[in-house]
Amino acid sequence: MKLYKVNRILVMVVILVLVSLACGTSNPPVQTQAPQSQPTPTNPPPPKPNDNGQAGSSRTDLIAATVQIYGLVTINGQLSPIYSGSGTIISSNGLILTNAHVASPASQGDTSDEPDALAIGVMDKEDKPPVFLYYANVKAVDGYLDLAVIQITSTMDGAYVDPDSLNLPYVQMGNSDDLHVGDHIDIFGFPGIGGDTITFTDGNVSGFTAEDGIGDRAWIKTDATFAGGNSGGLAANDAGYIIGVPTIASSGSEGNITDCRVVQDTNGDGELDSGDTCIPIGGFINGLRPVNLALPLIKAAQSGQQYASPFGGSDQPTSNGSGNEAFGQITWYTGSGGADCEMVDQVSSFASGTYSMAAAFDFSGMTDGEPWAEEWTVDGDVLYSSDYVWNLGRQGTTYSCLYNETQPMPDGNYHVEFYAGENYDRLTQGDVTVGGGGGGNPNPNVDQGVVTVFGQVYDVNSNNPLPDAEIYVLNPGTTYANWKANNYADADIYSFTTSDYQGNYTLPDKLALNIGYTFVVYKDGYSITFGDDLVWTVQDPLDYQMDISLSN
Amino acid sequence: MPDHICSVCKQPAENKIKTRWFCHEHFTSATHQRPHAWRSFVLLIIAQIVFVGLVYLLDAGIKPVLAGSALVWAGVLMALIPAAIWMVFFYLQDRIEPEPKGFILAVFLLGGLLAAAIGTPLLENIFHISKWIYADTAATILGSILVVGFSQEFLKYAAVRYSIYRSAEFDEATDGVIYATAAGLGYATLLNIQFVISNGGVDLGASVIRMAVVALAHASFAAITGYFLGRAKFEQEPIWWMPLGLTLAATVNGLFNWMRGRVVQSGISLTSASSNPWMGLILAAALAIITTGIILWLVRRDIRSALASETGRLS
Amino acid sequence: MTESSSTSNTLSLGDRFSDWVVVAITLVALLAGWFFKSSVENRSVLFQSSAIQAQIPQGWHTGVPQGDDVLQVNDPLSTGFGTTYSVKVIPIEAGSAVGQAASLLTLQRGQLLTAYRVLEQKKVTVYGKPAYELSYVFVETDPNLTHGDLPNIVLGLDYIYLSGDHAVVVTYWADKQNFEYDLGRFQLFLKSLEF
Repeated sequence: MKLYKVNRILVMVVILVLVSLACGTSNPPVQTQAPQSQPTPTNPPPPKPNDNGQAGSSRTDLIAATVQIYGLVTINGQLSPIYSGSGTIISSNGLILTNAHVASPASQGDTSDEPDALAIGVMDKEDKPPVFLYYANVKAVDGYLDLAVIQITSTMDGAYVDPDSLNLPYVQMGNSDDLHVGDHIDIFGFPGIGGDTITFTDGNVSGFTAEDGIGDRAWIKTDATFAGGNSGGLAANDAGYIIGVPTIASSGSEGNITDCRVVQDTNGDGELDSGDTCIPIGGFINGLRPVNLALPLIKAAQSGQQYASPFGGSDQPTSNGSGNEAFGQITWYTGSGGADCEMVDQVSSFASGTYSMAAAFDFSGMTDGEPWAEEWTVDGDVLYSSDYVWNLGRQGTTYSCLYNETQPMPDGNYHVEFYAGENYDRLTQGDVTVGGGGGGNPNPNVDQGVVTVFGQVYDVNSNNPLPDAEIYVLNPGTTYANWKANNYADADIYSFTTSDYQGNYTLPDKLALNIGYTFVVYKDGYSITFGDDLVWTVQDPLDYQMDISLSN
Repeated sequence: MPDHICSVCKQPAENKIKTRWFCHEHFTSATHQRPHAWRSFVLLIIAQIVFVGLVYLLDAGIKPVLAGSALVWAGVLMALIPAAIWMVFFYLQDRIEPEPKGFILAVFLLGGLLAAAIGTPLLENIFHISKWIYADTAATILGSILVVGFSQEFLKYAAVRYSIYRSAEFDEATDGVIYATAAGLGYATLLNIQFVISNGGVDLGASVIRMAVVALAHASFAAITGYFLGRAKFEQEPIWWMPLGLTLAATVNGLFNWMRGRVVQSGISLTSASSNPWMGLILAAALAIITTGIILWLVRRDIRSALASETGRLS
Repeated sequence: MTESSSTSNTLSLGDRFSDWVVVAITLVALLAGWFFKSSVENRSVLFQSSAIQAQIPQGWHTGVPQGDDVLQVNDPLSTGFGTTYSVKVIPIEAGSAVGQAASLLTLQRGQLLTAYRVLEQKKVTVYGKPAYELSYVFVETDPNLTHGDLPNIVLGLDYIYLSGDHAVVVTYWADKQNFEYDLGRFQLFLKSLEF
């Protein structure tokens, strides 16, 4: 009988040992799975070896190698698109072939649309819009040919990318000289701004056009029809090699008016109207630029050399500057408004409601044809920047206007810099305020506070530090109960910090003496701990250590 | 010829307590009084506190530098000591028939294993206690009683009820308290071990307080259940008797948890520390002394009335 | 002599069934505890503004909306990254596809968020309304480089609704370890949202 009872206990013990081993005695924090939508593999297929005679890309690979390119300009402190086009990845380490007017409109004389950055959107899935992952820089550009080669340099958050680690899908170069009239071609691209997936159209080579200085195959004519956003994209032959770049004439060229749409609230007023920058997306196609014309650019980009267009043109810098360039101090004038702004009256600051402002300066040692640039910032945010080719002679006085057509310039501290020469050396800069300068100090107590409070948050039962605890300090006079009744309003918070991975915290705002502050500490797994009306006096050290122990 | 058989050993029985019959041997043991039980328990609690003080002072004085797995092992070892102190006291009891050491150990282990296999996973992975129980006072009290209290006390009850309860070794009124306390200690010891391991090692001086609190508290809650179990075995009780016992234990468990949180965590101030674990130890010791005092008094009263009514019957 | 119960070792009613009653009462208590837990976790407070109306979880902190945001609330008691709900209203071209708003959103997020990756995007129907679902991941780091914080991996979920000349974007951000568990609460919030 006794044996039987002991055996029963033993059996239960064994079962429980097994169960508890399965559950684990150390109960790690709950592991959750990734969201139900499993991440779709975005790793592109491994790059094809670039041997001669190898098979070209399949249609899937062609689609994967077509990218959408946004030209981005800083608006209200953020990079926002002002135009879009397409491009083709031509090497696994991120070289992209596109049009010059997509990569750098300034190369064709359109400096006002010159982007601050180029964003590259790659295909993830065919039925989804492309995902913007990278920034790219111009490596070689020829405004006359309207071709450019750009290189992926960093991810969207600004982290540098090692080109050799990219392993992107790419399209191999075909030979556009081997094309014949009647050959079939496939065209891939992104016709519009945002939201649209990759589009495909096809047709046949219907002929070639010659141009002086270029040769008999300056343009490939085709009966394929496609919209403006396809410009810069991929035209491939049946074997899957790139043989041409669809090229659209955008605004600024002879006679071809493009369709310009407002799609983003670029001026931040909450409305989509004529006050916002419009994005050109229409126009008709001249044809395809044969890919062989791009070979010198590709070679220059791959070898890291500077590409010099043999076709010249007044829109390209033709001189590197004398090295003796000098700009004088900036004086400020009110402007007469609009693009044809003239200097009116000299001022030392601008009143609120100004529509245009002119920065004037003397210059000397300049050479016509050398590059120069300007950049305007307000309260630290870049407002406008552009680069140009100098054509004002060796010395004299000039001015540059900053203007807003529909709304007055926002109040703030304005700063302008002018650069010139091959290395864009900064030659002069100036500051002026509009409307009396920036806003008041948002935290009036900061300057008056004297005590810096710091310490460690730890668990009193184990003496282990507690990271990621949130520490709030409320405005003097507010208790925890007040704050809770106010639904934890942000306005009641004087200072806030979190404890770091070793449990240590330091309040970023100093506390004043002889007034009561309320501290509230949150940490998951513990009840909310607070202390109302804590007062520091003149006897307390200016660096005050206050460790906080929590118990559960 | 005798009509009745002993409810413990199935031998002929001549004595009865209320409606149950017992043979002479088991009647004697069922009504055995332990004259020094109360004193022993108080000494036991004092021993626990002394242990805490010793470790605390040693840690402060010597400041041993342990790190990594050595610290974890030291913590686990230390978690076993409060239970060991209790066990020693059980065995030192003045007894007619000591409980088999194996059985006490078995129930102790069972309590610990139930905590590991069911108790902690239920509270952490299914109920996610730590996410909502601190929301406000009502959440803490109700959550502590309904979820923490009932689950923990039921498991300790099960550790006794489904193992040793029917055995002939369970033959005294105080056996209920003893075995249940062993289960409670096993539960508490496992909680302390999990505390050490999930924290990757804890400061010995600081954590010994917490360990003693947990041990004293869980032993006390379990003792309540044990008293009810003991009486249920030897006297016929109504159907609501045992559920009442469990509910009482769960309620004391929940209320103690809430009270301990209130006395230990005092709030941020410049003049004092924001929490004081020693208050928790004082509360736990008070709980243990009061609970065991009440229970032992109740047991003594039950035995006296059983003896009196039996004497009355036989004379 | 009167006979009492036939054998003294028959288990009484109390003996047999009290075990079951104990089990039953425990299960009832746990069930009650479960419902209580749900009620505590689902407590909410009304938030109203000119643009939207929603039930936000009680105890959460409301941030000051910036830019296009009309609502931003976060949980101070989350482990790691504080679970955040936010709603923003973006003016868009009337009649444009919802993917356009998604593209613009992705562009902005890519610039602001570290290690931003899009995991999936698709059209869905949410409580009867058509919407576009965008799920992504990024890393949250304290921009204060002197603060020794370990970065957190944050999973994000956007629901984009078209509403005339605006797009309403409802965003859920949660630390990787909390995402699944807190998703249910977010769905309650999403259900209560009116705009």
